[in-house]
Amino acid sequence: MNSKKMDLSLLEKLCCAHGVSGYEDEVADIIIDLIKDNCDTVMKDSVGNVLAFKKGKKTPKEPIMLCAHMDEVGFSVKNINDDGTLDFLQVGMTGTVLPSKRVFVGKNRIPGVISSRPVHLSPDKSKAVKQSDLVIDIGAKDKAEAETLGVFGDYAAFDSDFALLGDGLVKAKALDDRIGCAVMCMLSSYDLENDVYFAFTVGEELGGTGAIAATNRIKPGTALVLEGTTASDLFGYSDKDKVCKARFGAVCPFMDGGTFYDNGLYKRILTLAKENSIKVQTKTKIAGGTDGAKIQRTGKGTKVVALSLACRYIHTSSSVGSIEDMESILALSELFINSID
Amino acid sequence: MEKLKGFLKDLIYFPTVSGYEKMSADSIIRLCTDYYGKPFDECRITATGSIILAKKCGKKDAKKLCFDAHLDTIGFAVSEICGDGYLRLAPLGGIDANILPSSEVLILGKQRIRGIVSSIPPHLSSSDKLPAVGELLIDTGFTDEHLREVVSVGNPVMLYPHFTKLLGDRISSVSLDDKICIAAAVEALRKTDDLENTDIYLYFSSGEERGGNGSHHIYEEIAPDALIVLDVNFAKEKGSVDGEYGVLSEGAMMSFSAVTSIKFTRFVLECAKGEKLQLVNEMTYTGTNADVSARVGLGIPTAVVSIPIKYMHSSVETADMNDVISCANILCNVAEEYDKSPVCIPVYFKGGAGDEL
Repeated sequence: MNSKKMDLSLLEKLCCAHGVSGYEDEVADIIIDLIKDNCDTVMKDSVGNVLAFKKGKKTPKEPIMLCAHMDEVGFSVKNINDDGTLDFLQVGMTGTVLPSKRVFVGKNRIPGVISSRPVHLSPDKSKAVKQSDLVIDIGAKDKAEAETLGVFGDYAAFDSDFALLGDGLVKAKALDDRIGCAVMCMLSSYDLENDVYFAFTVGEELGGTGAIAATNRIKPGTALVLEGTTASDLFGYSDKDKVCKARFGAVCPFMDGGTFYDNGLYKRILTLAKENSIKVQTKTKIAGGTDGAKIQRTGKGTKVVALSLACRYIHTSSSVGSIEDMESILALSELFINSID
Repeated sequence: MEKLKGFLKDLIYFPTVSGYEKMSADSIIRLCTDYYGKPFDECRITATGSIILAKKCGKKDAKKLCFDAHLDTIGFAVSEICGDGYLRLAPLGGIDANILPSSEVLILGKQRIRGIVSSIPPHLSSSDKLPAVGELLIDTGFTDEHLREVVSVGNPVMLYPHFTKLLGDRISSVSLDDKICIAAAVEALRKTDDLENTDIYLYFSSGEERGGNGSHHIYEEIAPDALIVLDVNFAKEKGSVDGEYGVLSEGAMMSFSAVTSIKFTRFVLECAKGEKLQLVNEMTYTGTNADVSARVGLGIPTAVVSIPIKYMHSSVETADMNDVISCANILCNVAEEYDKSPVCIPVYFKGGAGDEL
């Protein structure tokens, strides 16, 4: 049973903030504000990670680190065209979901849209448009107007609201990994059995820059990574192809594309879930990756386990997850921290 | 300008998916009447869901000048309730599957609910091939049982409405095609002086995206003496060939084609003096209602005036409000000039009267 409710307004605040990899400061500042009264130490390190320490009832034999990344997939303005439109690069992997989406460009949130070739003029409708043929249009009349706004090199993030969807689901951008950030912010306000280090990291979508710096500073013995992961539980797909499913509980992978999760910790999570009647599932494909890979390989090596939210349409403007699954992650994370000697 | 933008935004939020225009016809009439500022002299909805609004001069034998802008928009109808809270949709009008994955839609069932067009998971998608629109799954997030209570096969679905103000007077939204021309037509009527000999009709026709359904009835419903079809036209985008299309912010566009009346087109062109206007030669067909309405009844002298937009048939169609104003100004000039000296009027050289031979 999940005893604690997910704080959806906190999640909304985090999802609607902008934090494209390399530009995590807006998210970082919100997090610092949310946790500084709950933690004993809160810092922002030299790469931009927010690291915090919260004293519990006892100190575990080896330090426990919880980790969630602050950054999200997005875009970076590469070139300003003569007609005032912006060529862009993808930051993190987004796939064929870009035409006809809304974005905000830069800190000043200049509204823009990603272009879409009129269907009347498309020679082959069954072919996906190449990202390099798309532009961001902010309505600038020409190159000069766009240049005065200083958008060259700036980031762009999806413009997408936070909304409840159907029965018990949520739709938002950046559920990967603001859900992890939100759970950690909530945990920071709980009375925990053990001392805990919280690492809100930068640059996961670009390979885990922040996780390395955080692990080297904290030197954890045990790390719990909180993430968003691909659920493709579409109608008609086989269980194998679904990887994991929304509404089927927290996702605890035994292995993914980059990490060998510690078998002992993996079994501990499954046992805790069983003993406390909390829904948990594993991934049916060894795919994807988390900060776990970097945490595991940094320093002398760390035992890593992960709890992820099954996110449909991950890395798009409209990722979807289940509130009940979020609460399972929250409950299992708390039980996990308290279960360490 | 801000008031006109607000009017256009309101028009967009009322769904008029092709074939389902009637569900918002009353609301659209109310919005138009509010913006016009007084009741229209004639106001009705036709059997097939077109809206007719008129400003009349009061004379019995008045000439009738008509502006047609189509009321319907591209959209979808629910074609299948699949299970696990997913739906499939049939496209209504030309829709590119490229714009859909991870887009949001508004399903107009017993309740209005949000749906997300599923994106194909990367581990299951083959490089650059896209599925057909009708194959994509729409995630409603509902349990199967609950979904069947609120949604039925045949319910209309629209791209989720959102109106974005870009730099300057540029805007981006779903359904600018052709709500932006409805806004231009009402704006023109609001600006036009009281005329002496001419009734001005606005015909917001249904079904354009599905072959011009409403246009087939324009003669029976109104029998205009002259008609200007208002639609959107392609503006230059990245990858467009120079000179092939219009340019955003360079004014309304005027089409030359085989179906439209060259005489009436030239008349409109003369009336446009002083307003920005871009000319485009469409060669044969215009791809608008004019292809139908120029050939119904006893024949209607037709011209096509359009507003350039980028990214047509997407959820981010982009336009410049100044082009809307230039279009409205031209229409207003045409109305006032036509009132003084109508063109393309049938002439009898011996005997006859009215429509009889």
